[in-house]
Amino acid sequence: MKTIRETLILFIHYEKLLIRNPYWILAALFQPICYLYLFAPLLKNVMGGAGAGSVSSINMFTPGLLVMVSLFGVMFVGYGMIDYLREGVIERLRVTTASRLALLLGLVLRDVVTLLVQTMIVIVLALPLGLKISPFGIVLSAVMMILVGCCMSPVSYALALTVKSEDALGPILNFFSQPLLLLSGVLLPLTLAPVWLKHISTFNPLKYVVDASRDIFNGHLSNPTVWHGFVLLGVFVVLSFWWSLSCMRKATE
Amino acid sequence: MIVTKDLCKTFKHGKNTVEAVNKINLSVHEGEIFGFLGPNGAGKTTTMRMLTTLMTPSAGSAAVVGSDLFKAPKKIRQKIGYVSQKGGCYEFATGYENLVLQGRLYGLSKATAKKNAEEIIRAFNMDDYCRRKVVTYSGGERRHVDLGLGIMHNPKLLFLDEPTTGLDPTSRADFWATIKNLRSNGVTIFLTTHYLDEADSLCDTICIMVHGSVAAQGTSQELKKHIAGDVIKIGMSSEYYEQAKMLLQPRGDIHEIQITDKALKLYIETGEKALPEILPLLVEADIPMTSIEMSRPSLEEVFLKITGYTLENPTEMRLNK
Repeated sequence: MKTIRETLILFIHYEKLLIRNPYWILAALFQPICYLYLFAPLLKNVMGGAGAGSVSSINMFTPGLLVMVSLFGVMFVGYGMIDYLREGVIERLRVTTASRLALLLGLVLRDVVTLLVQTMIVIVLALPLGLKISPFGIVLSAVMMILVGCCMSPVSYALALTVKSEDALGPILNFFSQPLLLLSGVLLPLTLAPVWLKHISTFNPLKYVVDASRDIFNGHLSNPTVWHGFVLLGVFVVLSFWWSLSCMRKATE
Repeated sequence: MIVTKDLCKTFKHGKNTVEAVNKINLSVHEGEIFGFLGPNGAGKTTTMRMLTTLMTPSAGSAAVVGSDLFKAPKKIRQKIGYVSQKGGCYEFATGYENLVLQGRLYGLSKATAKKNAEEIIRAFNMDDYCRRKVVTYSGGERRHVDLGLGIMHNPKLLFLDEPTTGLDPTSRADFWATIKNLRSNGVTIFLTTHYLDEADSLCDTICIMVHGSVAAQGTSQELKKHIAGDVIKIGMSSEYYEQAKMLLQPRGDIHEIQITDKALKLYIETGEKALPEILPLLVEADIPMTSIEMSRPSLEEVFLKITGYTLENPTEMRLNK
């Protein structure tokens, strides 16, 4: 109860600060718009003979784009944490009686809400391009994006609290995010990939999330890929919270 | 308020271990301003971070406001306030918002948090700027908000880490008045500082830390008396130095005799008592004196002496030439 109260207090505070800085939201929306309108049209021709069956290229691309937006939108939140560390905010908060989980959850909740807004805007913007999705599909993919956010945002904070410097955080995040992204089939489906690439991609957890997201968008909810994706995300959410919380407990030592 | 016993903190850097704080024993009494001094790297901040529950000590024991540091850090957090060197405001929120949020995080209701914030704003004369974003504040304004954050929940004990570093003389004097005011409202204050004049005029008890250990502790007066002693400077020509030294050396109350330019410098326990005894000795021995000067040592001299620097400091030499 105490933790929930403190989380909400901090969340509302962070949202207030966010709304005062609208440029940030504009920047966060610009990337998905670019991909939707400048990249998606290319896919139509590329995918022509890729065996995508009845699924249109925009229905193939949008779910992947959502995963990418959520990943990149949230991945760099650690930069803000480094600012807070430097300004002594984290230290000051850690001396208060607030629960350590609430200090983390307030930030994560802010990130997830931003992500949800982005998700909805991407879906709405994709509709004129021919996207077809059921209301239930929207709800389920929103839940999925929440989980992706709950996975990536704590990881970014944990990493920031560990390395404590932008110079280290940026390269580390890029080092992991590029291969994860390319091997997930976000931009082009892995059905186009040679066999060896497909094999490597089976080790990429993000691939299963993208697959699940695609099946949700296209109404194949009974496919095992869907629950595989959710279970995998659930496990990662628990791990990333556990890591991040232990970093927060000793953040300034 | 604070009692520590053999409190230690060791850091591991690869294979090396560094003893940042080595078995320190402190006792801070209720209602006092306790000044924690020492050169950079002496372990002041580390000690403070242990006492404020930010860092777990490696060994020893401590009680802060009656609660055990190891067993009940949460209880301690409720009773203490802490203002770090950096302050820790949200820069893009207003001072008022920062204060209210802090109060809410300590479990105060919205109404109480607002009431406390407004009281602090009134007490610190923050009306002019408290509704602006903190990023626009001057150093002194910011320091007042930082201090306000530390006392939003009416703590019994307040930790201040170098509270006046970087402030101009007026803001510093202003800040000292605020701190003294807090003390008279019953708040015990534990502060670190590099300014010896600050420690001298503000602190009831002074503790000097060197290389992770407590080197001296007492009131400013006690430290000056016992460690540096009064200084008596007797002017005479150099051929009498040795003779005078031989005469005075047997006295038990002289800590040190130094020869400076055209004068003999005695560090002595109680100057006003010793002077009437010393003078006849020198007169009897027919040592012609050219001048006599007695001074109380500054806290700076105490500090330099304890931290291992010599008192024959280069600035004096330069002045004499």
